[in-house]
Amino acid sequence: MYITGWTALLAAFGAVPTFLAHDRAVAWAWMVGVVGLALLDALLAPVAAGIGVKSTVPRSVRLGQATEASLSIANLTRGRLRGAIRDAWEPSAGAGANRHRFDLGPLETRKLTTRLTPTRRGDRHSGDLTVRLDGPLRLAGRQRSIPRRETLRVLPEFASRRHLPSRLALLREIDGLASVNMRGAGSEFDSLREYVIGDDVRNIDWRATARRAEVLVKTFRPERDRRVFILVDTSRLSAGRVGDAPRLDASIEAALLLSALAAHAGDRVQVVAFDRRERARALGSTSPRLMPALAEALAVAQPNLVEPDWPGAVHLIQDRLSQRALVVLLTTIDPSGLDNGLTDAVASLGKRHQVVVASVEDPELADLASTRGDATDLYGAAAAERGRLETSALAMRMRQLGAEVVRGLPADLAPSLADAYLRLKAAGKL
Amino acid sequence: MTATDIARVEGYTIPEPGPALKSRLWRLRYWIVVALAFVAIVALALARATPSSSEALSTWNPEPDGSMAVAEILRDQGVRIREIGYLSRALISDPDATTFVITLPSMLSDDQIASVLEHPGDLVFIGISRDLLQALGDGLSYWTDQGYAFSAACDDPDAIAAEFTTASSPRIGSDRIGGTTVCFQDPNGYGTYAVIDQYERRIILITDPVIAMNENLSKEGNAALVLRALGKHRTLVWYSRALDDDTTLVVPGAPGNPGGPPPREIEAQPGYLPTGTGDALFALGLAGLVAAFWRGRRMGALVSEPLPVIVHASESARGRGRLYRRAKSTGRASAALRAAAAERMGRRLGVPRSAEPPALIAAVSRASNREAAAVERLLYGPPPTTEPDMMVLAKELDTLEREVERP
Repeated sequence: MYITGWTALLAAFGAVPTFLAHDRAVAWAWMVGVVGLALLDALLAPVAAGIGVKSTVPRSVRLGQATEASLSIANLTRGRLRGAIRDAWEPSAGAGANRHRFDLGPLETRKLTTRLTPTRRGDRHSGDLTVRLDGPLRLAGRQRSIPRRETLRVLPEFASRRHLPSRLALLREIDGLASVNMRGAGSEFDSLREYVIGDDVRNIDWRATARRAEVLVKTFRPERDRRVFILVDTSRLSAGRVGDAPRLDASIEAALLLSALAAHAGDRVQVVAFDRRERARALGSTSPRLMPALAEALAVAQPNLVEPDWPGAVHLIQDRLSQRALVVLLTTIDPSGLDNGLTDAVASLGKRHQVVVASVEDPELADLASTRGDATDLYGAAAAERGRLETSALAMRMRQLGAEVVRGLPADLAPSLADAYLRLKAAGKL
Repeated sequence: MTATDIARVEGYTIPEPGPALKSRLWRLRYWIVVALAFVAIVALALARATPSSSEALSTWNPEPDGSMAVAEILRDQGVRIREIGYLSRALISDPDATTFVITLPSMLSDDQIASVLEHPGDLVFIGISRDLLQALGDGLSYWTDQGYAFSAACDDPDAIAAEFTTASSPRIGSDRIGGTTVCFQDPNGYGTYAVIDQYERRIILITDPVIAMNENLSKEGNAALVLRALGKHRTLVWYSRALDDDTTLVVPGAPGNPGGPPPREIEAQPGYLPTGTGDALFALGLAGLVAAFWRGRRMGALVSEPLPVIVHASESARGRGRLYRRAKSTGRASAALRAAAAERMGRRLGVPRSAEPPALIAAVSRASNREAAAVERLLYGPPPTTEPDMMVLAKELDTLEREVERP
């Protein structure tokens, strides 16, 4: 049961006869009359079973894009159905106009759409569907909620994909497509072909030439089928806000760009979200198969307020990798985490693998360090500077252990990491 | 197949019929009991409660000095009684059929007495004052004497019916034979009851207010005298002065306040607004309740969402800064600023991190054209001990860095 604004208006009109009669009894009588009329209207309203509702929600949407959830409603009665329906969603699902009025003729169906513009990554759930059916006088009606729980998976934005074309061009330069028989580090023997003028004479395979009538050269191509293992740290430090989003989001962006690039380069990519245990996992070797799975897996990764278990992470990585690989740790180099085991993990992983530590920097720290107002600001600046020095020292320590360290602001981390990957690939360090 | 069945097959959800009225009522039984109990308590309280007052001679005062007994008896006899505390609220529309009772006129100002005496209908004063008698004129005199009760001894039928009263003081005397009748006279000619007949109206003076009080009403002939004096008309307006009343009587149809100054301030009293305004506002208030239900009824439940905690990543650096400040640790803070500046300048000038201070000092002094000693003092000098010193140091370091960047 609900009442409409008309009932309130009608009740307000009771002031006129009350004023004329100057008697409160008239006001009471009017009120009783209005309430009685509204109750009667609600009783006369169509029963809730007279409407059928079907809700269709898209499976997933990329963050920052809009999608439409559709509702089909059907009038199952032989009369007219007037009323409204509310398509309730979590606030972060960004449901705009989610209350739809309808006026259905007998046995008519209609499709209503609610535009969803999610504002947060992860699974967004819907609430109940609530139907209101007006009575014939439109003073009141019946209200009924239909339990419903739809889920819309909001995938990471992957804003860094705009860096992909330029990095792919760089990759092609390294790749055999651009220079076929570039010999040296980072390339492996591919095949033999006939010598043409201009080929490097050093690449002539004399042994093969001796067996055949023509001169053959060896061709090379960059290393393929390397293993790339990306570990996204979802522990305590990933929860800190940098700008508007947690650090984890920047890490995910970087992981997505690197995965896309590495999959294009023909490497086998494995991505794991880890804090004290594995939270998400995706693997694949071709871009069309890897990327959707990766987006799905990372969509629901959330920061957990726990201390990371680096020894556990090392065990996991060593279990999963049987040969030398590029291990990328997407985490935060934090001076307070001196003893959290990251350095030890880098040391032990560095014995077999090429380790890259990618850390999300906080632009606020730079602001804090350059603030010169009163003494209070200066203390803050000193603290920020001290933190940066300690972070630099830690990064230096990891470089000495043979790891590559990439530090960047949230927007820059993904391209920086991609560049680091290309550098390592060109140098044949994978 | 019905439309409902077809819809089910096509995947539509059809709202389940809600619980039957009976089970819904059963679920709400405790609330219903509570609501009924509440209504019963309120109704009982309203039925038992009567307006009550502690003012002497108020018709709502059941105490010994009140006059509720008189009012109740008159009400039983069909007299409509309205008690007012402000003269301006008297609003007597039909003076010929109304008795206007003024209790304790000794508390009224001259203006108020003058306005009361302008009233064209019957007046009864319970209690008198010298000012009142003076205003009435006609040779009335005032006398106080604790005397005895005397018999009516006059030709007023009400007084004769009462025979004796317990009234004693003050008393009233009259040198006029014609219009004024004084009853219950003592040997000196002073009585406790006077009737003045003027043209169309009659003024009754009951000199001693105690005979109208609850505790004395049943004594002697008090009741007979008071009830007969007050019960002449179907309507009775009973004035029992409110403490702050300085209004004067307004006679409908006559120019207000003749002979007296206007009231000091105009009070916003309902009488100035059109009749029915209050009732209309009441009706609007009820409509407001309906509107509240209209707006308050939610269209379905709220959807809750677990939100992440927002912790700014820079919070730990800020916390560290606060620690420095609380400890007034200028030395530690300056060391950090110096180290950071040295590191930046070292990187810019290509001095390795592992280099000894002299190498850096030499490079910086070359780049900035400063004395090596000055640079050394700035980068490696004694730590400042006060905040102003630290601020000076920070400023100098910034200047040095700028010089190194743009030599």
